[in-house]
Amino acid sequence: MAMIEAQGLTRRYGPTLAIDDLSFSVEAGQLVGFLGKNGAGKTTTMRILAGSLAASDGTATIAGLDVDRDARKVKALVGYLPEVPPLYTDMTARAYLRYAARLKGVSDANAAVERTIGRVGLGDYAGRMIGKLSKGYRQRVGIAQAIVHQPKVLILDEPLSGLDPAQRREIRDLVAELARGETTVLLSTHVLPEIEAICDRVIVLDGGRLVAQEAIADLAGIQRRLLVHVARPDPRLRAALAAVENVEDVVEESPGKYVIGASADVREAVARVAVEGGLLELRPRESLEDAFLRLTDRRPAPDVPTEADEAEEEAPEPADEGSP
Amino acid sequence: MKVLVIAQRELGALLGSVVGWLVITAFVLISGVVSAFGVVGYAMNSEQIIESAFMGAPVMTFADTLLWPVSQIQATFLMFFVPGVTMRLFSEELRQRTLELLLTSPLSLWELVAGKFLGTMGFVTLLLLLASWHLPMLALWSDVDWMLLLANFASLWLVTACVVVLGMFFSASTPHQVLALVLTEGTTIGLLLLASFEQEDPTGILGSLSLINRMEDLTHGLLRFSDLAFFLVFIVVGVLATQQRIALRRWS
Repeated sequence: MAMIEAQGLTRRYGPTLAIDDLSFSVEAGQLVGFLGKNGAGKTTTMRILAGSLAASDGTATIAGLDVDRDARKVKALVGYLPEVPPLYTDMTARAYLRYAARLKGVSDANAAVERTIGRVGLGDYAGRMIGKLSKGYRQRVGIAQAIVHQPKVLILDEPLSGLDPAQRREIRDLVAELARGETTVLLSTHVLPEIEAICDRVIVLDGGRLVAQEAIADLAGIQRRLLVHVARPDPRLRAALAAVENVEDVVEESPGKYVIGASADVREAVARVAVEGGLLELRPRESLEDAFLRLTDRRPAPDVPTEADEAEEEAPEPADEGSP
Repeated sequence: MKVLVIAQRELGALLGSVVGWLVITAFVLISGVVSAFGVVGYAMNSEQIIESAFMGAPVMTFADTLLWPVSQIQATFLMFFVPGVTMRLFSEELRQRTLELLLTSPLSLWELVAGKFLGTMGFVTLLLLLASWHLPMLALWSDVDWMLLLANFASLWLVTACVVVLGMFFSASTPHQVLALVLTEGTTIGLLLLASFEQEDPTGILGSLSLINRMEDLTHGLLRFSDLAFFLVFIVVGVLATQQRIALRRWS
């Protein structure tokens, strides 16, 4: 069953079309990357799914429930971390999470908060004022509020933005761990290697329209253009590679480096042949980043205000990055 | 009850804010001074009041000479101070992007707005209690009409509730607290000034919309259905308008 489903979802901001006739679905338990350039419509779509924004047209359902008609039930099923975490800087992390838990109708709020604090690794920082926490810990508090009621669907909008590499890895591992349970996760980020590392599938938007919705391995044939690097290049090896079933063409890019085009996944067969020539490297010719740029390089993104843009004008003072 | 969860958070935030305590301190001080002068003036003039009554002049009651003037001054100051408290109700949530937490939690907009209103009225009740202990002190020296004092307290509470819903509406309209403050102050001053046009308005509509005029009878211990209905309608319409203002944000 599709846990998240959008059908013809459209949203206009005045004359500007932020998302246009968007249809996609996410199966239960999947961790899906939601990709697109700034202004592609990711935040708009996520806000509609989370219930804080209305769609101009189309429908969206969570676990079969309409996000508008069954808003209350849907919101109880969804955990949402916006691009700018909704944090009260005058509260301690623990008090804030207790407030969020009670808002979300958790019966034993104290137990849920302590469990969540442990899960996101807030530890001793739970007793500190949120305004005094570093960006990494604030992000953890933001994720904690999204999962404190153990939602079936988790929508995370740019949870990795502004974090240093170590913090990014911690949050990435946390998201991956959450998705290992029964939670369905929709994750938006510009850090594509992280998507590659943890996501099952990607949904790619460009200019408010859907341009791809598939498994990362299949994304626009990433696995169907391979780069083979061998130690001992040889015309016979090239011929042997070309003879592999489903291989359509072999081009020698530079001495010892062959680019193979295929109509199916031929990695195993190609590796077997390339070993004879001293196989050094076998990888997709295109990375997710290459595929993303190719898919989204068709037109400029519309001038739709993102949440970050709006927040920039109204954001509170930044936290002291030196604090924990 | 999620209304109470939000009300509790709101009350906590107000009592934890500098503005909240500034308002409490300033209003309690002003109320103390005004009440003290009122009582001294009443004591000094009481002999003259009694003499006038014997000479056939209209009888000036305790409410006429003390409660009403003091309440008028208190209400006027409340109209200036309370917008300082209400300006942050939604503006702060909009500015800090925390409204997103409330809008994506399983609660209705009615619960959200009612919770904010109740939390603020909890603060207002505390403020009025702290500022209203002077007159009951008179019970140490004379008989006090407790129902009259209660009615006087209720009149101030209702007027302040009207200012709170106005402030809440303007706060839901902008992320800029100062703008919310100015709009609320402007509207309350407008409602205050309506009473001064009463003489020139033969229809009596302007006077009937004045918050100060509406509290006069209640301050004198007279509970009129029309006054009570006015305050209730004002508060309910204010809450509903704020709810609609927030609902519109999902579309804008």
